Amino acid sequence: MRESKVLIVDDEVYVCKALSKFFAGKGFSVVEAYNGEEALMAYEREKPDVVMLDIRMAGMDGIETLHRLMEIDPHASVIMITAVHEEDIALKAMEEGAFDYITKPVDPNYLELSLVTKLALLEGERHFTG
Amino acid sequence: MNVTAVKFRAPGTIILRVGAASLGLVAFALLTPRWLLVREPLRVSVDSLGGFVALMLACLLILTWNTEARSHLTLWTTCGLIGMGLLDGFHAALSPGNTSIWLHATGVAVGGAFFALTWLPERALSAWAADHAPKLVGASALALGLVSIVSPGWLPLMSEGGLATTTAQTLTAVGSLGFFVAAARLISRGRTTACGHDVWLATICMLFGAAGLVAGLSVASERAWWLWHLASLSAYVSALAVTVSSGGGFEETASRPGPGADEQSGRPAASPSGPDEREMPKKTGGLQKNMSPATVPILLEAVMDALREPLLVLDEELKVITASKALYQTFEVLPEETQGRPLYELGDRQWDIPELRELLEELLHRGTNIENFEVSRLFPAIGFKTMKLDAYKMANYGARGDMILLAIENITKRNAAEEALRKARRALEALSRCNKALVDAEEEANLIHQVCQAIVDKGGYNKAWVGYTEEGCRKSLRLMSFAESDDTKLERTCLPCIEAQGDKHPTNQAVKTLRTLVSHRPPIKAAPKPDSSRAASCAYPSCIALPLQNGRQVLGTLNVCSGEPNAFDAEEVALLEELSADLSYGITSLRTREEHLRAEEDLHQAHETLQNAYEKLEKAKAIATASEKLASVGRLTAGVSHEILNPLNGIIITLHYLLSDEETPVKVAQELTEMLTQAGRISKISQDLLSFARQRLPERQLLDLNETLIRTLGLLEHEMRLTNIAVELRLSDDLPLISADKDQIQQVVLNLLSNARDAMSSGGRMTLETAEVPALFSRGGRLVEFRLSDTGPGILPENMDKIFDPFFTTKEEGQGTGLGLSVCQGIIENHGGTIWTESAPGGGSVFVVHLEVEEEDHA
Repeated sequence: MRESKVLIVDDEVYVCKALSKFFAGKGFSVVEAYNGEEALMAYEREKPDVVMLDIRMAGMDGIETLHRLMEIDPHASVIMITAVHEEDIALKAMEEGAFDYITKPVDPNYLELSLVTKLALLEGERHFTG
Repeated sequence: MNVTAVKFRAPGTIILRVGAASLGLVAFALLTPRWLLVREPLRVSVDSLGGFVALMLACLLILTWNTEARSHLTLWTTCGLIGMGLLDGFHAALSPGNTSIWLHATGVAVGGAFFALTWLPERALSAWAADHAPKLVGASALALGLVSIVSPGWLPLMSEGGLATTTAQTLTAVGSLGFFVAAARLISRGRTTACGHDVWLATICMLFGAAGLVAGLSVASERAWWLWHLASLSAYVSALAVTVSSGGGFEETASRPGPGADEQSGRPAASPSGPDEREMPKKTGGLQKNMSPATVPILLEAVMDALREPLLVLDEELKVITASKALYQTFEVLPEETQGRPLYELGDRQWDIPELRELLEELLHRGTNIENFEVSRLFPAIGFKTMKLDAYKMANYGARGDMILLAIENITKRNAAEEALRKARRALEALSRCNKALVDAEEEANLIHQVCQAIVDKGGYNKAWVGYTEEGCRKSLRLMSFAESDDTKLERTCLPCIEAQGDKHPTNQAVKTLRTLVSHRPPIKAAPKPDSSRAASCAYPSCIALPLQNGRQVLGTLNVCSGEPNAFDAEEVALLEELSADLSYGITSLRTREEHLRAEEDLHQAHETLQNAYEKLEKAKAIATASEKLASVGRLTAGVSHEILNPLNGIIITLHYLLSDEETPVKVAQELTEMLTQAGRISKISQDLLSFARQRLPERQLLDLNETLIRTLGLLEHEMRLTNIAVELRLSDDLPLISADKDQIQQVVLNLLSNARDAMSSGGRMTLETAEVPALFSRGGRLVEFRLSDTGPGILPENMDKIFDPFFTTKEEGQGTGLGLSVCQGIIENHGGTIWTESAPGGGSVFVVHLEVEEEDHA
């Protein structure tokens, strides 16, 4: 099984780096992006297994980025990261194709659990189809 | 002495009187000393007095003789008294001797003969004799007296040798017999007629008879002479007294007709007898006393004409003999059209009344008076008259046979006045009852119905109805109430609106002119249009329409109809106008009162509305103030929280990273774990503050609660699965939509779900139910219910009323701020809903939310 690649998108560089370090520490291959455009470019370039996408970002926000991402790859696995009071937006994001959302402050363990579950599902799908 | 007042009792009365008088005279003649009796001056005085009274009586009788009013009995007695009186007058004027005795003897014979004639039947009397007999007798007696005085030579010898001759004896005896016969007749008549007059006449006859018998002895005896003269004098004085007191002649008044009046008719002439019929009522007796018989008919005619009531004199064939002026005037006819014509042909045969004819025939044959016979007839010339008739029979009047005096009293006006009075009384009674209804009135429809009923019941009219003018339609009246005395009551249900036909209709006129309109002919001849028009088209001969008005504003009309023609006189109209004015006032008052009540009610409602609005405003103001405060605080808090949360997010992730790094020393890891706990606490506080600060007024939209539940549950589904919580859904399929803020409701649901999840950290069962609250339990509008049950530890009873308080929490320190449920309550209450908890320790807790259903008119 190859090393799973995670794209972390957050305009808060510190948060992005913290998550990056956390998941790197967990043995994931991590790619960082600090805004929507970067995220789209990184996705096309790196083809990550899972994208962690912050909703509130300067410039292109998380929903817009998700929308564009789904246009590029409808099967993209996206976990939305949101503030508590933005849960309705997160819900909308899930309708758009995100498979989960996590409210800030992020519980990295839950995030990891969710990530691993999704990856396992993806592995299963791949095995089944491939 | 009133002769008519003396009642006949028995022949004994006469015998008693005559006996008493005779005894007195005999006593006088026998007991008076002879020297006194033979005193010449005394004898001459008594003789002269007797002669004078006799002459006076004869003259009086001749002068007052009235043909029309006399019966045959009166005639014969009058003739007898005249003849005898004149002859006795001559006798008294002469000194005693042959001529003197002759005159007296013939006088007695003539008087007795005439008196005896009273036995003759009534019809034996001819008109000529009735007119002229007294005068003839008077003239004959005068002639005989004069001849006797002038040539006494051819007179028979009356006394011889101190004794009366046979001739003298015979004459006086015949005369006396005549008087006694007449006395018998008078007594027999008196028994049937019970007339006091007859008693007196009989007494006089007896005295004359007695005097005649004694006269024969007077030549021989002084005392007999006195007896004769005194008896004769008493008889004359009595006769004079009777004549004077009965008003001239020997006319008498019978109290009633004798049933056996005719019983003696048909007897032989030798024993003269005849019925003495009832005489005409005493009418002219006084006249005869004061004037000549010739002037009496003229005077009678004048009297008849002077009477104000019509009078008719009819003959046996009911033909008019004469009539009074009042009759001609009253019936507007001429004498020549009336006299000689039968009664039943008069007045365009309006007098042809079978019943009256029958009664008149009965009057002629049986003498039954007619009294107060009422006749109502419509005469072509003079219109409708009501009369009362009295009829009397004048029996055997002269040669014309029986006659009828028909007195007519025109009571038309009196009846009309009585009718008017009766009507006025009825109108007053109706007015009084209407006024009572007005005073007691509570409700308009009831009032007008009572008034209509009173007009018909108490006023005695046939129909009364009230119509109201329709707004914007002056020609249209709406029937409001109706009362009718007839059986043909109209059904009210089919009379919602009356179209008064045409401008000429009195009702319409009354509405237009605001004046009372009286119609004595139906304006519409009951042209029976179907239903509604029948009430307005008045088939009654008299109708009155009285406007009901409030100032110049016409409310409608009060209409009264009567079956009688010309039913409404001025007084009644005035009373009815008063009534309609009262009714107008009553209606206006009731309306004003109702308006006042309504205005009061409106005011009350307005006050309540205002109060409610004020309360709402106050509430809104409080909410606005609160939400403004919240908004500003919220903005600040939200900003702060957000700004805290972001770096905190980084810190927490970093802490997790460091903790997961195997290179981290254990001691450091312990500190890091504590830091992570505290960071979580900051995070929780920030989140709750953010939620609490973000409270705002709901932005309502149509919302399917089920859908919101499922969606929100979806957000937590993953987490539920991880914490081993089973979720059961019992959602109503036909749950009505609610009007609510989608985000806020979702927040509430999420909060409750999160709480339930937190309460069952080691797994459990969560049940979500929705349903519409049965109408029985939902006051006001419809409600939907959302019920969330968990199998957690539940809420302690002592905490039940605190759990919605802000900052109250049962969670461990650092796990909750105690703002979640408070925020939920705020949101639900802002939606006009309710939230509460039902809990049994050990059995988990139940949260129930009620929200109003969106009614269609709000959509």
